[in-house]
Amino acid sequence: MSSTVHEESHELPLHIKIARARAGVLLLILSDALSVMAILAAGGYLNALNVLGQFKVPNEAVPNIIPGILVAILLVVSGAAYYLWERSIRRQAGTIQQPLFIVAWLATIVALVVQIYMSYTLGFGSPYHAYESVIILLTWFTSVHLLLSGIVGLLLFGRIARGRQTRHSYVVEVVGYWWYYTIIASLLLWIFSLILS
Amino acid sequence: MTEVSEVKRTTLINTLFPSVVSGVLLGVIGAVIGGVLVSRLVENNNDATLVAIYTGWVLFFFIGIGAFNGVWKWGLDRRDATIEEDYQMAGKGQGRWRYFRYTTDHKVVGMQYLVTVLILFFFGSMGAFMIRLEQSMPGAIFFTPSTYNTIVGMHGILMIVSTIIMVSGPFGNFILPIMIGARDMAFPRLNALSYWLLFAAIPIFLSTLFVGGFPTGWTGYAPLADQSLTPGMDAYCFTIIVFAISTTIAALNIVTTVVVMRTSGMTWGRLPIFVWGVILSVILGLTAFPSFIISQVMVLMDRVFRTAFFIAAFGGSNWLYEHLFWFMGHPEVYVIALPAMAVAAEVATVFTRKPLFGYRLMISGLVGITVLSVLVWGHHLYTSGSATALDGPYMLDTELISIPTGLFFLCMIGTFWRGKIWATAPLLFVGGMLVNFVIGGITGIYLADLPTDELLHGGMFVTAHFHFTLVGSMVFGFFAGFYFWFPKMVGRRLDPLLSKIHFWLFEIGFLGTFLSLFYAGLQGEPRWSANVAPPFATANLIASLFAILIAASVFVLVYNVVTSYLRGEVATADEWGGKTLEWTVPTPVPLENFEKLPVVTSLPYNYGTPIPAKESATADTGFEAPLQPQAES
Repeated sequence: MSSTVHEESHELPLHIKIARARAGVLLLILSDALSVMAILAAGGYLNALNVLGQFKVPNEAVPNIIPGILVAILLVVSGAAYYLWERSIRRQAGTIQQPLFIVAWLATIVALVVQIYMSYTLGFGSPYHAYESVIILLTWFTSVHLLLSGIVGLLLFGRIARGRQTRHSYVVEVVGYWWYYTIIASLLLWIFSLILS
Repeated sequence: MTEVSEVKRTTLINTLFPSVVSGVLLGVIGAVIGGVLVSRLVENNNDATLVAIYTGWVLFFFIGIGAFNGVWKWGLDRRDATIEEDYQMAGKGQGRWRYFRYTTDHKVVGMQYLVTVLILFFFGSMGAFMIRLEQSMPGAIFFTPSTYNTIVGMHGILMIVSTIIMVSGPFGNFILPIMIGARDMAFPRLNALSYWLLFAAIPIFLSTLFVGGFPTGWTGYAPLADQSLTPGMDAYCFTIIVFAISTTIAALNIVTTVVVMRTSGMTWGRLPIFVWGVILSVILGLTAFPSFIISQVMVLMDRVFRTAFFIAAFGGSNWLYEHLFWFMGHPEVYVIALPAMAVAAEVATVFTRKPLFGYRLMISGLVGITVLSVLVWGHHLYTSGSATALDGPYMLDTELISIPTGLFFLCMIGTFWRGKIWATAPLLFVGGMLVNFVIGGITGIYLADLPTDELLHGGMFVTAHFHFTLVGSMVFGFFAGFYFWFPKMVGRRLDPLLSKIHFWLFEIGFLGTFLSLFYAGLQGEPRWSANVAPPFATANLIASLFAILIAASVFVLVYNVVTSYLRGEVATADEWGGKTLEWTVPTPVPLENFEKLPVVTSLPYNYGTPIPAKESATADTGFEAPLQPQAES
C-alpha cells in the first residue's frame, strides 16, 4: 500500500508538547489527590462516628512503626536523590550524576518491598474492624502508588540506558511532579495512620 | 513539517495482532489464568476468584490489543516512534478495520464511542421496556422479584454509563478537537485507552447475568452490597472502577486538549459554547469520580477480604457509602447535563440563524452550575437518619442551582426570540429538551425541599423526576447533537422525515409515560416494587401503553441510522450552514483535520444569512477542501 493520505506530517511544536505534559500530569495528580482526600475523609469520618464503639476496639493491634519509619526515610531519600539528579542535569555543568537517579529509583523499589512486607505483617485478624480496614486500605493504596512510581522510574531508566535521555527535558520535569507527589501523598497517608492509631 | 515515507504493506497477522481479536483472545486466557490461580490459592472465596478473573481479563486484553506497545517503545526501545508508526497507530490506510484496533485518531475514537453509546442505549431501553411490561398490571407477571431487581439495576447502570459518555465521548472526541482547530487530542494514546477501558468493562458488566445479578440497583448501596448473596455485585463494583478510570482518563485528555491545543486566535472568549459545556462537564467528572472509585474499592474489599467499611457491627457505617457515592452521584447529573445543554445551545444558534444570546451569561450559568453542584450531595441523605444540621445549607445550595439553570433558559429563549426558525430534527429535539427540562427542573424543587422530600422520597415521583431530567432533557440534547453532527461524522444524511417521526414518537411517548408516573408517585406508589399495587394500576397501565411509542421510536431510529448509513445521501462539508470550525473541513474529515491550522478572529456565531440552500453550503464558508478524505476499504 502506498502512502494514502497526504505527504506531509505536522509535528507538535515543542512548547505545546511541554505544556500538554505538564497539564496532563498535574491533572492526574489532582484526580489522584482527590482519591487520597476521599480515603482520609472516610477514615476520619468512621473514626469520628465510632459506630457502636467498634471503630477501634481495645487491645487491637496497631501497625509496627519501625517499617513505617523505614519507608518514610526511603521516600525522603528517593525524593532528595531525584531532586539532586534533576538539578544536576538541569545545570548541565560537568558530569550528569546519573547514579542519583538510580538511587532515587532503588529507594522507591525498596520502599515498595517494605510496604508490601508491612501489609502482610499487620497482625490483624479477619473479619477486620473499621480501623483495621482503613489501615489496610492506606497500606495498599501507598503500595499501588509506589508501584506506579517504580514503573515510571523503570521506563525513564530505560530511556537513560538507551541514551535517549541525555539532558534535561520536560520529561524529567513532569516525571518529577509525579515522583514528589507520590512521596508527599505516601507520607501523608502514613502520618494519618499514626494519628488513627 | 517532515516528509513522510511510504507506509508499509500490512499482512493478515499484522492486521489481527494487535487488534480487538487478539485482545479478546488474550483477555479470555488471562481471565482463565487469573481465576484458576486464585481459586487454587484462596479456597471458598468466590468473590476473590471473580475479581481475579476480571483483573486477568482487563490486563491481558490490553496486552492483546497493543495498549502497552507505545509505553514499551517510549521507555525501553532504542528510538522514539517514527511518524509513519504514529500514522499507523492513527489508522492510516486501514479502512474500517481501524475501528477494531487501538487506533489513536480522535475521529475513530469518537465513532467507537458513538456506536457503543447507541448499542448501550438500545439494551438499556430494552431493560426499560421489560420494566414497563412487568409493571403494566398488578402482581408478578413475567419476572420474579429478584430478576426484576436485576433488570432495574442493569437498566439503571447501562443508562447512567451511556448518558455520562453520550456527548463527551462521541462528540467530545470527534467534534471538539476540530472545533478548537486542533489536529488531534492532546494525548492520542490515552484517548484510545479511555475507549477500550469502556469496552473492556462491558463484558464484565454483562457477566453479572451469569453470576446471579445484583440486588442493589444502580446505586449499589452498602451494606446490602457487602452481603455475599450473589457474586454478581463484584461485577458491578469492578465495572464501575474500570468505567470511572476510563472517564477520568478521558476527562484529563479533554481538559488538556482544550487548554493546550487551541489554534491561534481561539481564545477562551471565542470558544464555541459546546466546548465550554464539555470542558466544564469533564472537570466536574474529574472532581467527582475519585470518591466513586474509592467507594467501590471499599465495597470490593468488604466482599473479598472481609473488611468492614460499611458494616456497623464492626465499626463501619452505611452513611460513609452514601456520602462517597453521592459526592459523585449528584455532580454526575451535571456531568451529563452540561454538555447536553451546550449541544442544545450550539444547535439553537445554527437553526435560528442568530448569534447565541448572552454568550458570556450562558458560560457564567454553566460555571455556576459546575461550582454549586459539588456542594449539594447531602440532599440525598435527608431521610437517611444522619445528622440534620446540614440539611438547611444543602437545601439552600440545591435550590441555588436553579439560578444558573435559569440563565441557561434565558439565553436559549433569547436565542430563539425573533430567530429564523429552521425546524429540522436537531431543533425539534432542542425544543423537546427545553419543555422536558422545565418539568424535570420544577419537580426537582419539591425533592430539594426537605418537607416535601420527606413525603416524596423513595416514591415513583422521584423516578419520574430524574427521568425527565436525564432522559427528557439530556438524552434529547444528545439526539439534537446526534442529528446535527451525524452527517459530519458519518458522511451520510439521515432521512429527515424518519428523524422527525423519531422525535414525535419519543416526545409524546415520553410525556405520556412519565407524567403518568408523576401521578402514581403523588398517589403514593413506592419505587423498587416489582409488583404494582391495585391503587396504582391505571397510572402504570397508561405509562406502559405510552412506553410502546418510545419503543417504536427506538426502532425508527435504528432503521433510519442503518438505511442512511447503507444508502443515504452523501453529506456535504457544511450540511447546515454552521460557522464553527468543524464545518470548514471536508466530509469525511481527513486524518489531520486541517491542511493549515485556521486562525480565529471572532466568535463563531456571526449568522446574518438566511437558511442556506444545501448546494451552496460549502460556498458559504469559502473553504476549499485541499485534503483527500481517508479512504474506506
